Amino acid sequence: MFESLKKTDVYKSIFRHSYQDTQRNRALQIVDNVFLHLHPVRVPRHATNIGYTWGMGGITFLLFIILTITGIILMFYYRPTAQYAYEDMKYLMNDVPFGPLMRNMHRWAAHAMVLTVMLHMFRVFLTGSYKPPRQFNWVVGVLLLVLTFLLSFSGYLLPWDQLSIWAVTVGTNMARATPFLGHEGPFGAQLGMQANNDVRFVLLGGTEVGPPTLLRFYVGHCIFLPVIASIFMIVHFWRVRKDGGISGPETGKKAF
Amino acid sequence: MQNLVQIISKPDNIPIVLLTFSVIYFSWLAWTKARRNDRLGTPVEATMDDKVQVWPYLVRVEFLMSIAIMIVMIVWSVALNAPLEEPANKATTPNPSKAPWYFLGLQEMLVYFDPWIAGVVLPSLIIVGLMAIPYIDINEKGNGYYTFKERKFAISVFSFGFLILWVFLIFIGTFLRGPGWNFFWLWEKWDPHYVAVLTNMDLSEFLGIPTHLPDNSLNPVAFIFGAVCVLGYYSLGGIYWLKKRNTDLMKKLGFLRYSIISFLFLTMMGLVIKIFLRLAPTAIGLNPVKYVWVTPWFNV
Amino acid sequence: MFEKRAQTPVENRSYAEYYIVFSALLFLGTVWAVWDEVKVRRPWKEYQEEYHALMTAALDSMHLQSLQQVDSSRVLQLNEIVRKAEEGFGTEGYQKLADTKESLQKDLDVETRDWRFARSRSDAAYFQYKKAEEEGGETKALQDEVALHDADAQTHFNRMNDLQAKIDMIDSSLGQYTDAYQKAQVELVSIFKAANSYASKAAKMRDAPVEIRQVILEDYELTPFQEVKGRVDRCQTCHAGWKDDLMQDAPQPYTKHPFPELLAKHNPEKFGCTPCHRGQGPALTEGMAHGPGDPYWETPILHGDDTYATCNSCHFNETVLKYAKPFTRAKQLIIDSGCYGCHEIRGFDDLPKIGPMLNSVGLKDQPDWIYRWVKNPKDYNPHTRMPNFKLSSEQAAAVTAFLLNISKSSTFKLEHPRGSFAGGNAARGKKVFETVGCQACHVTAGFTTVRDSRGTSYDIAPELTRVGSKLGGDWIFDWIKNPRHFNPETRMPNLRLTDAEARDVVAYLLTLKDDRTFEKAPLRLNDTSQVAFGEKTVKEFGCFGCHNIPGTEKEGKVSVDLSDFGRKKYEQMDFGDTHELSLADTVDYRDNADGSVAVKHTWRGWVYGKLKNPRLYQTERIVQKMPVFTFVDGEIKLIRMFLISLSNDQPLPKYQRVYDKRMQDIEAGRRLTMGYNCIQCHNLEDRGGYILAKYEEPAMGPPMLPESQGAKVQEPWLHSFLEGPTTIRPWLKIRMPTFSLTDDEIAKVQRYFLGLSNEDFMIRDYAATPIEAKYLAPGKQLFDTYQCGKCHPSGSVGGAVSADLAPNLEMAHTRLKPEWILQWLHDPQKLQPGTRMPSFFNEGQGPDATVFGGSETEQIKALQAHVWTLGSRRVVASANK
Repeated sequence: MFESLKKTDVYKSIFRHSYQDTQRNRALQIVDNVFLHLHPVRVPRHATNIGYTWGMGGITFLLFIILTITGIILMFYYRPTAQYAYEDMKYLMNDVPFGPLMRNMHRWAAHAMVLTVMLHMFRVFLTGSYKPPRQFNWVVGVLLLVLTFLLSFSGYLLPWDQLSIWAVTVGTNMARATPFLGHEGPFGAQLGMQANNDVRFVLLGGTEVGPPTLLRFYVGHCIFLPVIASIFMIVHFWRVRKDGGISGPETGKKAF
Repeated sequence: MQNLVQIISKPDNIPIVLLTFSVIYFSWLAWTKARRNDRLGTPVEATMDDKVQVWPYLVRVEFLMSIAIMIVMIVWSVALNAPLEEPANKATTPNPSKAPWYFLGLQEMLVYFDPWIAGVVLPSLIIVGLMAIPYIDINEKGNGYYTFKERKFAISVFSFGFLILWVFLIFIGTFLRGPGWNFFWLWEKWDPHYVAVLTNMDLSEFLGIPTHLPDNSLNPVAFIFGAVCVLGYYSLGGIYWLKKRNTDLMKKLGFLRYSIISFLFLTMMGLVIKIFLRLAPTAIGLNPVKYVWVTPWFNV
Repeated sequence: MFEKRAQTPVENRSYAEYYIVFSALLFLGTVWAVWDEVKVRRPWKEYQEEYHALMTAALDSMHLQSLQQVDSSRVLQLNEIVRKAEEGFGTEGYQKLADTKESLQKDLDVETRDWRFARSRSDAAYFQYKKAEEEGGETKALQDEVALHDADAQTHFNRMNDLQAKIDMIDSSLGQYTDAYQKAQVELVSIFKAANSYASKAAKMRDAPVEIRQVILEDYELTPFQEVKGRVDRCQTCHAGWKDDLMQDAPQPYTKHPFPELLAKHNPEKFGCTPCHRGQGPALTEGMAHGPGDPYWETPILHGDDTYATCNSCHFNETVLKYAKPFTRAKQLIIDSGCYGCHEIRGFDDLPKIGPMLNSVGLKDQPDWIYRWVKNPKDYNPHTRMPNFKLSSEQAAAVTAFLLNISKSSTFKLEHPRGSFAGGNAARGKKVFETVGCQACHVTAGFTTVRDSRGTSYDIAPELTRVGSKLGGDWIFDWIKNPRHFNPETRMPNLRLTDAEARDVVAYLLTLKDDRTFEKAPLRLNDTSQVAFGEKTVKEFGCFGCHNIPGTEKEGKVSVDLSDFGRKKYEQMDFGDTHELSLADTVDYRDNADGSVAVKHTWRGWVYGKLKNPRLYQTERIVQKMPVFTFVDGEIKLIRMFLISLSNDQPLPKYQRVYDKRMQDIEAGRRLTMGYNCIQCHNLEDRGGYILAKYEEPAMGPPMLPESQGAKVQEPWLHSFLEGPTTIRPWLKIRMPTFSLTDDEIAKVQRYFLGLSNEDFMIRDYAATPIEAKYLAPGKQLFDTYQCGKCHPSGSVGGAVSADLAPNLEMAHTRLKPEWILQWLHDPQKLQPGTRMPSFFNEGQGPDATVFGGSETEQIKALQAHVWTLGSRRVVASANK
């Protein structure tokens, strides 16, 4: 039965190769799969060693996927207005099927992602993996680190509770001290900066954290930042391959 | 003690507990690996540079890790509810009001610096500095394996910055900073009525130079004194350059790279010095230092 | 082991065990997540199932009960009838008729269908015809077609009628077989109606869906960002039995609500539960909904009497709530204590200052006494309302100097020559004092009934036990003859004592001496620096919050605004040097054996301590000025309950009580009657009547004023009565005093009574009330038969004074409203519960059947007519014309 299924055109159109355990099929498994072909067909032996890589980059990516999925589900139940935001959180926590699970997972995965990104950077530094030819990918990585912080920070406001509004108030209060661009920063007053036209005003959509801020942070959190982060992630992964795969000691042999 | 349990069991603080332990573990792991490699001479990684098939040997590990992470996430999410506090209200300020945990290092810096440094200049310098690393670190060794011997300066500085100035300050900000951003030991109760001593003085005042004249305008002597202190501190890098400029290393680095390194390094150490100036004097009965340099536009 | 594993080349390692273990764990994790979602986080499902089970059981037992009450012999009879009728259905005659009916019915169905089709064809053709007509095309053929279809329809319609007529005929022939059967069936259904309704309710309950039951309050309140937001209440998901009588004794959460009369005005189906009870409406687990599970929910559920706090959200204007006694008491307590003198509290605007004006205090009291009083009023009179400001000796001396300095510019002069008080008889004075009503407000040694029955820790008027050492005879004489003379704002009324009575009372009061020693201080009354310091002290402590003091008219309230006090966090409160009481403790406050005090570090704990001893949290550094009251436990809890309600978060006006003209009238009257202490003697809206405790027989005390008072008395009469009371019940010793109310105040009382009885103020001529002559003679007859005169005496009352006595009805035509007399005679208990007036009529019949055939309405009219004529000759004359 299964054998005859395998002979159909439909099956063959989906699965391009047979599954016998041969070198060729193993290679095809990677090359023919849109997700797996991110990988090379073969890697240096030490790349399979968790002790070397700590797996932090991969975990970060997995957490990003978890966050995307749970985040999209949460968007169904959440309205970014001061009138509804908190009520919707209560609804989510009390009533929505699997709502608490989705929200908890989104929050904890976000914390975990910040953690793993930091550890990933720590590992990359310790193995010197930013050294030529991977300098630029390190720069992309730093940008991704910043984007992760911004994603987490913008999401922090969305529950619209005391924790979020004051954390964001504390965070954004510093913006008013920006040199030149903040009304309390060095040379800000001399440049005509006031509470209602400085960089913080642009960030918050007002002179203090309020309903417009919520909308700004929501749009940033759900569209702007994820798109930017995804683009940089694509560059990051692509550069990993193009810069010679995972870093390793120079042994005279070129990886590719 | 009850207080400690309360802080730790706050669901939002779990990541910091995780951070503390994972950073300690991974530092230890990296250190042992580096030590081994340094002892062997050739890194272990170099002996494992032949190729293996990604399918199945790498993919299966990745998949296994994914399952493990999913287990962790599910258990964590079912067991602990994400916090949801009172509805947002501008009229009542919680005490302490803290930034998200990953910014607590910067919030801690607010104790020692004005917001324009702690909140804007410092984060910008961290980002720029991090991005600059590949271009200012011209040491070709240590690429792709754990080592300490071959890149002592780079690893020491980075580890100091990451472990002490970032992770440790997050730890302090979470566990040791209570109401009013006052310092409490782990076993002390967070008393909202705690009253701290406020006797900070500007550095110039220690030498009897008042920062402000009786008519409340800035004392030019104090201004010049502060400028000398700060600029003199940064000129240490130049002095070192003049001394060592003929060494191979310096020649290889070039002036531009050296200036960037020295600026970033001195800035980082500047943080430590300012923290020291704030904390140490009290130990010998002096008042803490508030500002080193007061200008009409900004204070350092 | 791991070291060894690391040595093994990757190609030779197996991950099978890891996969098995991790997959199993992932599976278990997923199962746990589902279990958590379906069971742990939704306990309300089980509650609701349990509720359905309880209700089903209760309904089932009701079902059985009503089955037992069925008349079983009648059921047997009916069953026999049914059985016999069913036998008839088997006979050939019946069958034949039935078959014919069936085939006719079939034909009728066919005809009906064809008729409908024909109509439809006609409609379609008509449309085409009209269309063609509009477009100017050929119409003749189409018109014919319409006519054709119409004719067809008519044919079918006629046949339908024929068939129906035939069927009706057969039905009537069938009647001999079916009539008895149908009748029996109908009776059976009615016999089992009650039982069946329980059964069907039980069946419905058995199949009732388990679902979230919620009430949505649209546009209920404002968010902190001033946006209108609704509220969701899901309490009824678990508390499903709140309105079921069957759940009266069920355990929580299924119990019926204990106060249906409250729910009648606040229907939970529209109003939800959390507006009164607080708690987290949208939450669906007990901990989250009630409070302890969610420390961040700002309004956890209220327990016990604290629940009455939320009345204030909507009824903040009102001082009396019929179904919320603790709320009414709390408000009265706050008004009596004058809290609003120093604190801004919503709902306590435009109330008078509670203390006496101090313009002329130096002409009344001795400087030493003033010093003693200012220093600690409770030392002189432990039950005074004036709290202890705990002033230092210097401050008290300075305040004394300041007050005496003010009195220097007083214009007060005695009305009577000095010494006019002399010559009274103390024994007679005591008697007067005890009978005319002084004791309604003033306590003396040996007579504390009023204090006890008020149940408060303070007196409403000064205790007079030691007044003889405090005041001089001249002043007392002047005062009791006319209190308004010394203090135009005083609430003390004029009891209209004769000079002789007044002298006796003065003589009596002067025998009440104070033999206690007290601290004296050297007073420098003429020292201007002392006076200035005294004025500063007065302003600092806000004495003008309760007293009118010249020179302080422009001062604001000295203490904090309490408008959002209920939401203050305990972290913002200072607990001073008190010890912390464990949260597990049963009380909020405890006096330790060593004299120290422990309070819970909660809002409730802080407030309890503060009210118990307002200086409790004072430390060396933190000076507190709130004076020390002597509230007892119950009073503290009432005030705290009220404080809970103080919040800026309030429902929007559409949820609040409409404060219309009538409510405002009533409220003004309540405040006035509280201010003048009317309620000390009269029970009004279930408040007061404290003096009644003095009388073994309540009818011998001041009369009750029921809510129908406004419907009872004529407006002109009430006006003149309040201006100068006349005697209505001469056998009573207690006197209605003269309060010297202004016209405006009298109008307030008028409108208050009218408002309570839901009447409007009208100007009418009561003298012109028409009386029909035909009622006069029967009225007199009934008046005698029913022996009205036995209790309603005319002329002077002689002989034994009895509690059965009632007012002289000769006053009726100028005092009572004619409509009220009718209602009163119909059912006195309804208008004034507990009255001794008997009810003569029962189910529209009077006992004397000889008059108007015993008709109640006619007899009442006759009595009314008679009573109306008793004091008035003119009416009779006009009726006889």
